[in-house]
Amino acid sequence: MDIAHAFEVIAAILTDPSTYQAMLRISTPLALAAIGGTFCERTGVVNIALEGIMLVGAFSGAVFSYYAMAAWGFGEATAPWIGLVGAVTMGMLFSSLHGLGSIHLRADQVVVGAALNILALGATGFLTQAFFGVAGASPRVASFDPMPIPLLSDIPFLGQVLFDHTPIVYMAIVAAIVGQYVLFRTPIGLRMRAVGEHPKAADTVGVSVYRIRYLGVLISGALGGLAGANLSLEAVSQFSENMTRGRGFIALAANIFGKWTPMGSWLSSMLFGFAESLKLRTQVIDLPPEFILMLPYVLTIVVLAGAMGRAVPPNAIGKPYSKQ
Amino acid sequence: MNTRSDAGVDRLESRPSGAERLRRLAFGVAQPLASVIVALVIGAVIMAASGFDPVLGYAGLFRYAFLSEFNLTVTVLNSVPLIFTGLAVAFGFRCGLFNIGAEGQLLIGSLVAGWLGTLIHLPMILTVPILLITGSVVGAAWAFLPGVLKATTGAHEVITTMMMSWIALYLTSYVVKNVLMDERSTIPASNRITDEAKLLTLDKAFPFIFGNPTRLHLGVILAVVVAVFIWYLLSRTTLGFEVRAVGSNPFAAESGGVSIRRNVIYALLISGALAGLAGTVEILGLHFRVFDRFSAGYGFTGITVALLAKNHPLGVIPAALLFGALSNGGAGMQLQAGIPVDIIDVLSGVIIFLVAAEEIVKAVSRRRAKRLAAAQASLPGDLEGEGA
Repeated sequence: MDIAHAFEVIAAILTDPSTYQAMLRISTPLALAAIGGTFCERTGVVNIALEGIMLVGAFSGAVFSYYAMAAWGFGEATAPWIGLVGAVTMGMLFSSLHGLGSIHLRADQVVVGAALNILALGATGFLTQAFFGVAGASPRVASFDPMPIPLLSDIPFLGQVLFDHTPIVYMAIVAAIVGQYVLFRTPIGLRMRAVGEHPKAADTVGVSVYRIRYLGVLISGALGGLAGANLSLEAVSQFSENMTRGRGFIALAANIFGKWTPMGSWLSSMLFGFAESLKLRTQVIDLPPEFILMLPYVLTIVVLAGAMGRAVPPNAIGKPYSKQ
Repeated sequence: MNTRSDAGVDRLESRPSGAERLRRLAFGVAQPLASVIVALVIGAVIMAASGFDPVLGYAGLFRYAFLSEFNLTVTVLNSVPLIFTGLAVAFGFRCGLFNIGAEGQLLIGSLVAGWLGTLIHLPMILTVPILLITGSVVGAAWAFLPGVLKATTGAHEVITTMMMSWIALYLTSYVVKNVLMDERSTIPASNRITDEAKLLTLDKAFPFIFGNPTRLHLGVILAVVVAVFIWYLLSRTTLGFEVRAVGSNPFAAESGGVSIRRNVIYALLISGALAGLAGTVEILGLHFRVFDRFSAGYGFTGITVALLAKNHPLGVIPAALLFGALSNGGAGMQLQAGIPVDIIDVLSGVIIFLVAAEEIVKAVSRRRAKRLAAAQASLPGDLEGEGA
C-alpha cells in the first residue's frame, strides 16, 4: 500500500459519518460503566467489579426480555424495556454485594471486586444453562430497534452521528451530562466528593459515610447494569457467556483517563470506542486484526504513562471507613 | 488510584511468642478452610434450587478429582501452573501490589520460551534451564513497564497489568497464527519443541522411585521447590523484608530508608517471572508446543489461589491443589449430575469473598466478647450492663 493510497483510505474513514456513529454506539457500554465507576470511586470505593456488574446486567436484560414475551404476555416492543428495568435492578442488587463487602465488612475492596467478577462469570454461565437448557448463550430475545429522533436525525452528518441510535446510547449521553451536574453542582454531589476525600470530616459534620458510599456503589450498579443491557438488548439480541469480554476494565481505565469526572469518563470512552470502531474496518486498513484489537489497551498504557498529565484519585479511595 | 491492596499485608512487629504464632497459624488455616466449606454449602443450595442433585454433584466432583490414579494425576498436573501463578500473585500482594495481569506474563513468557524450544539443540541439561530462565525473564519483562509506571507516575497496576495482559493475548495469537504456525496442524499451533527441551517425566527422572510410566513431570517438583524458595526469600532475606515492609506500610518503610519505588519494581519483576515460569513449565512438560489460548486462565485462577492461601508461599501449594481438583472435578459434576461446570466459578467467587471478609469472623468474635463482658458486668448487680 503506497502512501497516497493510505492517506486516501484514512481520509475516507475520517470523513465517513458512520465511523463516528459506530464510535458512539461502541463506546456506550464503556461510558455508562465508566460513569458508574466515577460515582462509586468518588465516594471512596474502588470498583473493579464493573465487569461483573455489566455481565449480570447483560444476563438479566436478556432473561427479563425473554420472559416478558414468553411468559408475561408483553409485546415485542415492550419486552426490551422490561429487560432494561430488570438489568438495572439486578445490577444494583449485585453491586450491593460489593457494598456489603467493601463498606460494612471493611474487606479489601479490590479483592471483593475480583471475587464478584468471578462470581458473576460463574453465576451467569450456570444460570444460562439452568434457564435455557443450553450452554454458552441464551436464545434470541426481543431487543431495541433504532429510534431516530425526528427532525434532528435529518441534520446532515451530525444527524446520523448523534440522533440515529438505540435508546441506551442516548441514555449514556444524558448520564454524562446529568452526572457531571449532580457530582459538581448539587449538595448530594458535594457530599459524595467529601466522603471520598475526607470521610472523617464528612462524618463530623453529620454526613453518613456508609449511606453515601452505598449510594455511590448503587449508582455504579444501576449504570453498570444499563451498560450490560446495551450489550444484550442493543448490540446483539441475546446473552452469551462472558459477553462483556473485559469491557469493565476498559471502563475502569476510561474513568481514570477521564480523571474521575462523568464528562471525562464519557469522552475517554469515546476515544476507546473510536479505536474499536476501526476494528470494523480491518479489511480496508490492511493491518492484522490483532494489532487493531490491541489499540485501546496500548492507548490506555500510553495515557497512564503520563501523556495526559497526572490523574489524581480521590484521597480516601480504597480505604474502608470505620465509625468510631 | 493510589490504593494499596491490603490483602497480603503482614504486620512487621517484633517476633511474637510461640503460643501467639500457633494461634495465628490456626486462624490462618481455619478461616480459609471454613470459607471453602461455607462456599460448598452455598453451592449445594444453588444446585438444589436449580433442580440439580448436590449430593450426586459433589460425589462426581470428588470421584473425578481424586479417585483413580489417572484422575489424581490430572489434578496434580492442573495444580502445577496454579502453584506458579498463585506464587506470582501472592508475591505481588505481599508488596501491596495486585498483579491481575499474570495471565499476560504467562502467555508472553511461554510464547518466547516455546518458540526458542522449537529451535534449540543443546544437551538437555543446558536446554531446559535456558528455556526456563528465558520464560521467566520474558514474563518479568512484561511486568516491568507496569512496575516502572507504578513507581514513577503511580499508575495503578490493576489497570496496567490488565492492559498488558490483553496486548499479550493478541500478540501471542498473532505470532502463533502468522509466524509460528505449523502447516500440518489443524489448529493454530507452533511446531513441537525439540526432545532436549522437554521436561522429563518422573518415571524417567527417578526410575528407582516411580516404577510405572506417568504423565507427572519434573515441573511438579520444580513447583514445590520454587514455593519453598519464595517462602525463604520473603521471610529470611533482606529483599523479602523490604518487600513486605513496603507492602505493610510504605511510608514507614520509606522513612526507615527502604525505597518504595525500587521494591515495587522488584516485586512486579519477580511476580512476572513466576508467571512466565508457569506457562513455560506447561509448554515444556505437557503441551510441547505453543498454541493460541493454551492457558485456561491460570493467571486469573492464580489470584484465587493466592487469596485462599492468604499469600503464604507454602499455603499456595494446598490452595493450588484444591483448585486443580475443582477444575478437574467440575467435569465430573457435569458428566455425573448434569451440573454446569460454571458452578466452579461460583464457588471460587464465594470463597474469595469470604476469605476477604475476615471482618465477618472478627465481628462475630467481637460481639461475643462484648456479650461476655456485659454478662460479667451485670453479675455483681450494677446496672451499667443493662443501660448499654
